[in-house]
Amino acid sequence: MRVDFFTWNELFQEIPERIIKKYKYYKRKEEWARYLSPPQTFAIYGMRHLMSLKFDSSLECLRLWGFVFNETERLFRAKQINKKIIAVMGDLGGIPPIIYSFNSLIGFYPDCLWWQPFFSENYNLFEVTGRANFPETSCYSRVVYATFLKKAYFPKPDLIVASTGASCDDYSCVMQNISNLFYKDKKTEFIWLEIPPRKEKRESAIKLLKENYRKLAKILSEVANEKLTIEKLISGIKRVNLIRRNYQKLKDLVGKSEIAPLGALEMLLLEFGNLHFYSDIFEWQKILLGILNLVRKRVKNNEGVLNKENKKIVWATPPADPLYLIYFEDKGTRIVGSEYIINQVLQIIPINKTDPFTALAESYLSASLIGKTKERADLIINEIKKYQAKGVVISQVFGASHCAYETEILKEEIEEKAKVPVLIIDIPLPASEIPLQTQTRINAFIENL
Amino acid sequence: MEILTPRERFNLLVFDETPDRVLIFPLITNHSAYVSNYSIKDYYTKGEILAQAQINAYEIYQTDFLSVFSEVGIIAEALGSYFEYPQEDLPKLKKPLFSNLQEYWERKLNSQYDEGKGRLYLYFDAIKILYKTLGDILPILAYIPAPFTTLALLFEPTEILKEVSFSNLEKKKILKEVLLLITDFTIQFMKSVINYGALPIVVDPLASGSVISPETYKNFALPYEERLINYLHRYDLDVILHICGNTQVYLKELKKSTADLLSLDRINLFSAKKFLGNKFRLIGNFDTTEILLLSPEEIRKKVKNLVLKMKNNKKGYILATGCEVPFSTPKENLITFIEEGKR
Amino acid sequence: MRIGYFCLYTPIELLYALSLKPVRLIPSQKFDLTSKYFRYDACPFLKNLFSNLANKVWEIDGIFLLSLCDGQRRLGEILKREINYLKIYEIYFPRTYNLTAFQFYYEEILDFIKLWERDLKLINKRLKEEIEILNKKKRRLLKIVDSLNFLKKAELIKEFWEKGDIPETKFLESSVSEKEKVLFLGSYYTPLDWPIAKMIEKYFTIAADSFCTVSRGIDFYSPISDLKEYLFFYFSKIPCILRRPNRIFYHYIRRKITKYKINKIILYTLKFCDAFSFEKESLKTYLKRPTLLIESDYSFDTTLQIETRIGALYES
Repeated sequence: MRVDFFTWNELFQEIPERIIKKYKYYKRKEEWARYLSPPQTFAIYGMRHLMSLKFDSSLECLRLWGFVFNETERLFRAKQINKKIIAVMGDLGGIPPIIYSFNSLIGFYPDCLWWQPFFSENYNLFEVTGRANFPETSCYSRVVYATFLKKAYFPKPDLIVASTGASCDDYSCVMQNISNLFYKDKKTEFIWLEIPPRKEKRESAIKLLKENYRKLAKILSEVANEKLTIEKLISGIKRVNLIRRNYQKLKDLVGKSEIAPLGALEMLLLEFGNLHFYSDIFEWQKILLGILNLVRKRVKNNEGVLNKENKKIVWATPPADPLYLIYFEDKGTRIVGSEYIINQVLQIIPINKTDPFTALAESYLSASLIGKTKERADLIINEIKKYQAKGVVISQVFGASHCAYETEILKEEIEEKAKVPVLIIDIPLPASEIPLQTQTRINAFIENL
Repeated sequence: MEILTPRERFNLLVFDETPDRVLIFPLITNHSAYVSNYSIKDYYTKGEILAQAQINAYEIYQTDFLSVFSEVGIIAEALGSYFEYPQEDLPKLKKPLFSNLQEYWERKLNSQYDEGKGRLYLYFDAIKILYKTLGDILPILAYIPAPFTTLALLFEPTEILKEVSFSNLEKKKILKEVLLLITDFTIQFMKSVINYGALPIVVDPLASGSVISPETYKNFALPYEERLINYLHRYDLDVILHICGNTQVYLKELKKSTADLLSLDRINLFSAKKFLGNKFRLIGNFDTTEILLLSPEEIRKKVKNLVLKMKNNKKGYILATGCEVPFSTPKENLITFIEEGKR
Repeated sequence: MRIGYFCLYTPIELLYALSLKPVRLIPSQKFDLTSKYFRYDACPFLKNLFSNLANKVWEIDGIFLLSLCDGQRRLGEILKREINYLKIYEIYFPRTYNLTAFQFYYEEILDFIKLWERDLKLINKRLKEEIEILNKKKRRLLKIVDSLNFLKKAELIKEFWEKGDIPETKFLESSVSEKEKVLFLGSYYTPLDWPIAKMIEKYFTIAADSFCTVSRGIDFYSPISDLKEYLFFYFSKIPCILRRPNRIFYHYIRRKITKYKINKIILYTLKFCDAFSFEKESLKTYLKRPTLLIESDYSFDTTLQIETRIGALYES
């Protein structure tokens, strides 16, 4: 069932105390390690947008929401219990399998904090970057710089890894500015890695990525004060692969079922869980499995959260404002497929075919943004065919470098090859509502599907 | 210009991290009506006025919290006690719901919750406006009278104080029954407050050591405060418990509380720190008479001393007044208090 | 074969060694219409470059594209869709200074070379000759332009890159100015940006600049060496604000500030050019000089406003 914010408060009253206290992160027993809280908790602490959203009413999804929004506290607690914090930026998913092969390291992407202003309906992070003279005509990811300045969204990292190259310019500039903050800091190492492009000849790129990963593994060993054996790395990768497999099974179930067994917002959170597992890979594994089992049951019982008649669409590029996903669902669509610029974390790392570093490199080469736009279009077209979608929505952000050059190509390719209509929408700065003009365009698009 | 918003600062504190500075929380309630030139009556009866007064006060003082508080009788009134509202004074208990326990026994208490009862709307209307206007950067605290305080206002206060101290077991059993009903109602109220986006803080002024004995606190106040706190802990909220007056006398009992932050009034905060500081984040306790009457320079010295001694409290510290800032406190006094606290 | 290029990291000497004729693409014309594949917030330079190519402003057969910015990296795909006459060569140039990244780049260049010549020994021989020739030309050019005012300097250097030879330089007067000195830096500078420079020169002397189409292009001289060492020189020594980290660029401009006794800085960036617009605060902090940021998209609708701001810097 899909419920609003206020209904969740009612449902929460029924959850027994022992269930609330059951779920803890980092395998800890302390009170602070619990994370099962309703949206109300996070709304009280500033996530105002939650009041406008709709949620799956299952306990499994409540666990998901609580876990995701608890991440800021979890990172601080990680440091308090002597874990080392690794901030990874730019590569969107290639590096965490190595990090999570260590026992004492927690890796996370500050990049994901680009959602913070939207969930809190707050401009403060933008204001702080404005004071640092960042251009207003740049991607919303610029707020990540503000989060480093504030030191209130994560503890001081023990290592920062910034990847750039065949990737977004604006975020590369943000990372450069962040590196300036740590220039004289002897306690926090800041390293740059190169993201190669994907070309026909793959060997050089694989070699480059492999070297990156080897070099990084060595540095991580020093930070963790722990030796990384090949066996440990293989074991870590296998754990990641299990998560990716489970996610893919879930995605297929959701996309192919007659009635949508899970909403788009939960699917967005689940897909992004593949990046860095929201800073606790073991707990994330359990949450994902719980939801997979829930969805299996729903599909078996032909239960869903949306109307059967809702029209199927594919969504390209994650919307900065999650409200758009809710709006589309309310207006009669269901998002069956997605291309959220993180294709690289949906691939199974081919650990059985080659050594772990090569396997990591090979799987990374499937990244959404490192090749030609046409290739990304093909990914979207595959989603359309696989899940029999009737249309595509591409959400854009003003100032994002890849959007400025690829969106029209994507539209053209999709319309030509998949013969489905494409709607392009710009997501504006945080607001509690979708602009009326955009609503009209969305409604017209849906009507024509 | 400060880099952190009050929300971010508060979050760091409750994550057991050290924020950039001590948080500042003078309990600005009806004083905000004073600086806004609103009548007290309007402040206590119109949610939009209460909200606007808080916004105005924030613009002047730039504190770290917003307060939604009427007076301690709001739940008692919703349950049936009758209050009157002078134009320029606090609401007064005109006629409690019950004169004595006997009357309760005969009539019983209708504790069916409804958001429309009494002046509960005041909180909801004010919170809605404040949450929309400033809820992105400021925590909004909704003061919730604890059951013992409400109990004292459902009956004649002096009558109840006698009963809790001297009555027989049978009567004490009845009192506890009433307290349970009040607690259930209060929990429903908190559930509504939570839905609107405010963080409930539990206030129990009539459980002050100036008013009741440690034994009474232990039997009639603490257990019901705990029920409220447990309810809030279901949401994993950080619970502030505020008790006015002298709590020195029952520090030992207070230590048993499961609140996360303790807001204290007339107590030696430095010695409380030694006894309670490992368990609680402490809030307090600048004397409210002093904030009204002292000069800015004197206030500055005292704040400096207070912060110096308290800022290293193990679980954290929030600079605050011991209780509500008096209505007509000079603006410059509060400004000095806040400025010095922020240094 | 005439090959167009615009990025400073283009290995021009190598192109000569491969018997190609490199032509630097520095647009002088602005066209209103551009490709539908560019969104409104795409780089104005790339949009205009496209329009110039579509209108065959230059006589070139191909274009050599590097990847220093995302726009440049994606330009090839747009060109392939819209412009038939151009052969497009896309080489990935690393953003970081990782040695493995250099190796990647080196292998890309080797693949490029194989399109024209298989004998690496011959290439190395020719390369050394071309390096020597170009170095001599650049040194001569530097001597000529060093004492000229910025506008003239920029004009001559542009001509040099377009024609591949030192332009006619009779009757050139050295520029002597008492005005306050500024460092002028920013996005890819073309004749379309001359109005900005003219406005600045009303108030200041542009004593130094770091544009890759002006001074930076002739400030560096490749060692006369084999291919790998030559490419490594480009990779490691030539500064660009888009490299990561970009400290080398900052050291480069700091040297200019010291050498020319610069008091103020004017940062000129094209709208939506992230490279420089993100750096304003860092420039101010690192260089400790008053810094003015001017943004433009070649339209100069706000000329008066810009001039007012330059005036305000002058008075500060």
